[in-house]
Amino acid sequence: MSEANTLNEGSGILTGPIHFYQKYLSGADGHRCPMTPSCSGYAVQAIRRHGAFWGWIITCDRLMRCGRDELKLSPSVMTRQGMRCQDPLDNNDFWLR
Amino acid sequence: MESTIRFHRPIFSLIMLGVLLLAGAANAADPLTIDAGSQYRFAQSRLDADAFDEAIAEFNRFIHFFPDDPRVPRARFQTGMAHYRAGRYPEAAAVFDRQSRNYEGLPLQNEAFFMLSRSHADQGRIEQAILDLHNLTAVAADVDVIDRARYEQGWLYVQQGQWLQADRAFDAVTPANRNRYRIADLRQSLAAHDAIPTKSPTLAGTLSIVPGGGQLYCNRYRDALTAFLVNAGLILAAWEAFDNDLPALGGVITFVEFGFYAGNIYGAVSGAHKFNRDRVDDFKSHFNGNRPLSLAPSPGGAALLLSFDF
Repeated sequence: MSEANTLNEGSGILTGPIHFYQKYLSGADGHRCPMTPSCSGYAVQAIRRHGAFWGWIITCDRLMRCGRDELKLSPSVMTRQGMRCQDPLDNNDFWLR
Repeated sequence: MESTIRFHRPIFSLIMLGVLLLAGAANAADPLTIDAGSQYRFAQSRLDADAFDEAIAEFNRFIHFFPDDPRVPRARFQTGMAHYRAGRYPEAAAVFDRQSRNYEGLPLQNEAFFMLSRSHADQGRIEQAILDLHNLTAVAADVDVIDRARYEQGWLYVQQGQWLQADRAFDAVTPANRNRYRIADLRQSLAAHDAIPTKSPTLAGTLSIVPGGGQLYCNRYRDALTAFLVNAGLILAAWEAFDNDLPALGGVITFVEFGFYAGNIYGAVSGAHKFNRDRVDDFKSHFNGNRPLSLAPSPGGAALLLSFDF
C-alpha cells in the first residue's frame, strides 16, 4: 500500500469526527466562523495534507488564531455566508513545504 | 386545347433548361486566388482581433502553402505569440524554443529568446527564465540585445527576492544603455532592501516556550493573549486533575494541551515567516512602481511600454 493511500485512509478515519461535527453539530448555531475556510474545513485539509500529527498541531494553531489578529492582516472575501477573512492552509504552511 | 398543352410543355422545359444553363455560365466567375500576402494579412487580422486559435490555424495554413515565403519565420513567431496571448505558455515556449535554435543573431531570434524567457516566467519557472536570458547573453553579439537581456534578468531576480543578483544584473548593463533603463535609480531603490524589517522564525519559536511569547515578538498581540490564556488554562486544568487523583482526565487534558502548546510554537514560527513574506511583497510592490517603462515585443523588435497604476 502506498504512503499516499495510507495517508488518505488514515486521514479519513481522523476526519470522520470532523465531518460528523460539520454535518450534525455545526449548523445548530449557524456558520459562525469568521474565517474561510472554516476551522473544521481547515482541520480536514490540514490532516489530509500533513497527516494526523502535524494536522492536529496546525489545527490547534488555527483555533487559537481564529478571529484574532488575522482579521486585520489578511484580506476579506465574500462567501455564501457573508464576508469572511481569507485564511487558507496555503497561507500557513508555505514555509513548511 | 389538350394537344396545345402537350405541345407547349416540352418547349417550356427546353426554354427553362436554356435559361438555367445561361445563368450558370454567367455566374461561373474567375476562381478566387489567395496569395501569400492576403493569407498572411488574414492570419494577422485574426491575431489582432484576439481570435488566437483561428490565427494559429491561418498562420499554419500560410506556412504550409507558402513554405518558401520570407515571412515564414515571422508567421511561426506569431503562432507562438498567439499561444502566449491565449495563456498557453507551455505551447508558446515550445514554439519560441524551436525558433531560438541555430542562432544567427536575427532580430526575430532575439525576440524568440525574450518571449521564451517570458513564457517560462509566466509558468512560474523563474530560474529557467533567467537561464534563457543567460543563454542569450552568451550567444548574442549585439550589445543592445545583451543589455536588454541583463535588464530583464534583473527584474526576474527581483521577482525571486534575490536582491544582490538583481543588482549585479542591472550593474552589468553597459554605459550606453544605462540611462535608457534608469539603472542608477533602480540600483538606488534596490539598495533599500537592507532596510526590509524581518523577524527570526527561530527566535519566534524559542520565545514561544512561554505561550504567546513568539506571537508577541511578531506583533500579533491578540494571538499572543489567546495563546497564553488557552495554554495556561489547560496546564492548570491538567495540574489540578493530577493533583486530585484523576489521572485519566489529566491525561486527556495533557493530550489536548500538547496540541495547543505545539500549535502555539507552530503559530509563532508561521507568523514570523508570514511577516517576512509580507514585508518582501511590500518592497517588491514598491520597487515595481519604479518600472513605468518596460519592454514589449512588437513587429521588428521591441517597443517601450509606458504604464501607470491608478
